[in-house]
Amino acid sequence: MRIVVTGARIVLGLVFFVFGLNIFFSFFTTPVPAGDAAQLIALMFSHGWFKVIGTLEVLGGLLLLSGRLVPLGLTILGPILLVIVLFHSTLAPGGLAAALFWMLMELYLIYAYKSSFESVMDPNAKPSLGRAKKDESAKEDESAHQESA
Amino acid sequence: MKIVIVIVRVLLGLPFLIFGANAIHPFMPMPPMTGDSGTLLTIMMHHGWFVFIGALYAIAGILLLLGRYVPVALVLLGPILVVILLFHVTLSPNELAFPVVLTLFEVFLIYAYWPAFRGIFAAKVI
Repeated sequence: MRIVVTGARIVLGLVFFVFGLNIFFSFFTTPVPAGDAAQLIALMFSHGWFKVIGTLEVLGGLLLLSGRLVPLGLTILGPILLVIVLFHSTLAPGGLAAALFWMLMELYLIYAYKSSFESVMDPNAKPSLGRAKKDESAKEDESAHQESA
Repeated sequence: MKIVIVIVRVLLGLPFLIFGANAIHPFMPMPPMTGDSGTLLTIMMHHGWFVFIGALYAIAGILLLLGRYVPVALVLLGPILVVILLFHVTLSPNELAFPVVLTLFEVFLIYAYWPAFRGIFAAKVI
């Protein structure tokens, strides 16, 4: 199973690393959409949005490729992929199959690394700020109690 | 400190619940849609993106108000706030103050709930 996880990690990381760099260096041309999709892309491009998106894609891709901080890479790429799927399902259905494929790979990797996301998914997560001291003293009380017992 | 965290949680949750509901069922006056920002918002609205984004706003807002799944709400709102900031910085700089305040609330709450996010930053190799 480990080889499948590593494979998915490398493939997804490479795709975002390459497409992210392509935004800056244009090694290859990507298909030009028409209509509203084209207008949306043109607006995003002319206002520099793709520089931000490209940077995040390269960063997320590198984290997946390196195998370090993979959950952080998945957290960065998750919302980007969600918008890519939203874009293709509403404006450019031609690329929807590919977008869904990458989304599935992301979901598989989140599942593979699910232990890293457990604490985020805790329904009763409590703030720790301003509580640390109390916790420590509580622990001390507890250990003192155990010693006396 | 606990009361400050609850107040910030409500102050971040309430606007997102209200704006989320407004994105799905508009009840507030619509700002004039002019220039590039107007074109962008018109395309997004025309293709149903507002309903999708509004649902995410409302879900995150409700979770923050209830105090349940707070880290999930913060994970949902993080990228949304990045795009809101990006939108206002590049297309509507006059209305930047409110998004910046909301982002400060978000960052403060991530800090307050930091242990929940530690797993994401664990540099372990599978």
